[in-house]
Amino acid sequence: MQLAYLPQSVRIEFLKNRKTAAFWLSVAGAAFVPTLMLIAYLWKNTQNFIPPGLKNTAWDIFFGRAWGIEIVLFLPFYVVLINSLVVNTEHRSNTWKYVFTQPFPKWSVWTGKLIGVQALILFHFALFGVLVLTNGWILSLVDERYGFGRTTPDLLLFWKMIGKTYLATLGLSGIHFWLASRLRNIILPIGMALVGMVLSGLALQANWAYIDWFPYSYTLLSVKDAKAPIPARHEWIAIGYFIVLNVAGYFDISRRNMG
Amino acid sequence: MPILQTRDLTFSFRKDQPVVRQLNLSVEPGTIYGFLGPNGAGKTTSIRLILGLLQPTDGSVELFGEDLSTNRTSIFQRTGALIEQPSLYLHLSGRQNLEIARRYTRTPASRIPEVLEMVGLTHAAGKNAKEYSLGMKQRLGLAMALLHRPELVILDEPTNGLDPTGIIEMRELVRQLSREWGTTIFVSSHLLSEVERMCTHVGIIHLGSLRFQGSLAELQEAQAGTRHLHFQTSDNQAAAGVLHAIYGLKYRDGEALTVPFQNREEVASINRRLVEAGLDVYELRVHHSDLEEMFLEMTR
Repeated sequence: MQLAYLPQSVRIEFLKNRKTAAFWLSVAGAAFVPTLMLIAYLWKNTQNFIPPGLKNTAWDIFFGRAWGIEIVLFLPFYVVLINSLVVNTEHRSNTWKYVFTQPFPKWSVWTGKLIGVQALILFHFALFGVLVLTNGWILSLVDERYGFGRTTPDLLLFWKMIGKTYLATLGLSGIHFWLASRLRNIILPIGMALVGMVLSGLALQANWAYIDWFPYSYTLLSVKDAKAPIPARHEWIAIGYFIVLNVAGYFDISRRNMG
Repeated sequence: MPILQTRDLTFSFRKDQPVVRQLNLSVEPGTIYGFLGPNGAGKTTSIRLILGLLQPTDGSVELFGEDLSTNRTSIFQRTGALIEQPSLYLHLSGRQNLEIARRYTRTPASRIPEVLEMVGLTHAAGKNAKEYSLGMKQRLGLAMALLHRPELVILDEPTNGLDPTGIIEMRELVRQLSREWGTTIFVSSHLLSEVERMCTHVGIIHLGSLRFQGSLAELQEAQAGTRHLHFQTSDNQAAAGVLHAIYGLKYRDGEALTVPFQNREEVASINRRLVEAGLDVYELRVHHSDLEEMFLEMTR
C-alpha cells in the first residue's frame, strides 16, 4: 500500500528538523509577543488595569492585543521563513539527490516534508496560545486590578481565532514551500513577504476589490473580522492555493532534473 | 543477466549538445566495475541518469532487470549510492544521519554500530557532521550508502579529497565488500591507476561516449601490441642495421632506438642479436606507459 510510506516520511522529517534554526524560530517566535505583552503590562501597569463592567473582558483585550501584534509584526514573515528554512536544509546539505534515491516514492518525500513544515507552524500556534493564557494567568496573580480574575477566558473564541489565522497562512505556505524547493536563496522570500505585507496594508486601506486573492493579506483579513464564519471566503481561497500549488509543486519537483 | 544495464542512454542539457551519447553500459553481478574517464567526460551525468536524478533525453536504464522509470522503490531498496560531495545533514550527528538512512531503508538499528565500525567513525558518531573533516564526511556518506547492505553500490569518485591513507582504506573497503558480501560495485574515477588497483572490469568514457568496456585483462590484452623496447648500444647505427630486416628499424641521428615487442622472450632475442653482432648494449628498457598511454590515446 503506497500510503503506508507517509507516516515514516513524516517521522524522518521530524528527525531532520531537530536542532534546526526553523525549530528554534518556532519556539522563539511563539514566545516573543506573549513575553512582550507581559513586560508591557508589568511596566505600564496602571494603564492596563481593566475596570469591571466593560463589554470586553481583560482576557479579550489581552488576547486581542497580543494577536494583533503577532499578526502584523511577525506571522507572515515567520510562515515564509519556516517554509524556506525547512526546505533549504536539503539544498544546504546536498541531500535532494540523497532523498530521491531512497526507496520511498517521491510524493511521499514531498508530502512528508510538507507535513513537517505544517507541524512546526501548528506547534508555534499552540505554543503561542498556551503562552498567552499562561501570561494572563501570571498577571492575575500579580495584581487583581488587571481584571483577569473576574472572568474566565473565552477559550472557544481564542482557539477559533488561532484556527482562522492558521488557515489564512496556508496560501503563503503554498507559494513559499514550492518556491523554496526551487530556490537556495532565503533573502528573496523574505523580501517578498515584506513587499507583500506593505501592499496588503495599502490594499486594505484602499478597499481593493480583489484583496481576497492576494495571499499576503490573509492573516490581516482574518484578524480584521473575528466574527466572520470559519472558514471565511479568503480562508477558503487560502486552502485552495495550498492544495493547487502543492500538487503543482510536486509535479514540478518529480520531473525536475536534480543537479 | 547484468545487474546494471543502460541502452543507448543519451542526455543533453541543451539541445544538440549531448553530454552522454548512446551509452551502453553492462555491469555483471559480483564485479567491481571502474567507470573511467577524464574530468568532464560525463561520468557524474551518467551516474545521475542511472539513479534517475536526471531524465534521459533518450534510452533507458535497467537495474536488477527492472526498468528504473517504473520500479524506483524496489530498485533503491537494493542499491546504495554516494554521488559527488556527500549528502549529509550537517546540523545532525553522524549517528542521527544514519538514523535517517535507517528509516528510509527500513534497516534494523543494530546495523548502525556495524557500519560506524566499518568506516571507522565509531569515536565520532556523536559529533555533528559539520565538524567532520572532508574524509570523515565521505566515510559517513559511504556508511549511509552501505547501511542496508545493498547488492549494488554506486560510488562517484569516492577517493576525491581523501588523503593517501583514506584512499587506501577506501580501496580496501571496496574490495572487502566485494569479497565478503559479493556486492557489485560501480565506481567512477578519473585515475587509471586507481581503477587498475581496485577493479575487475572497466568502462572508459570520453566526451560522453563509451570507448572501451570489458575486463581488466581484456584491456591489458588490447594494449599488448603497443609495448615498446628502448635501447642504447655502442653503435646505434649498426644496431639499427642488425634489426632492420625484422623490425624495419631505421636509424635517426641522436635518437634512441625503439622497437615494438610482444613478450619478454622477444626482448631476450633482440638483446642476443645485438650481442652476437659484436655490439655493447648499454641500456635495454621496456617502456611501461601501458594503460596510461592507451587511456590518453583513447581520450585524446
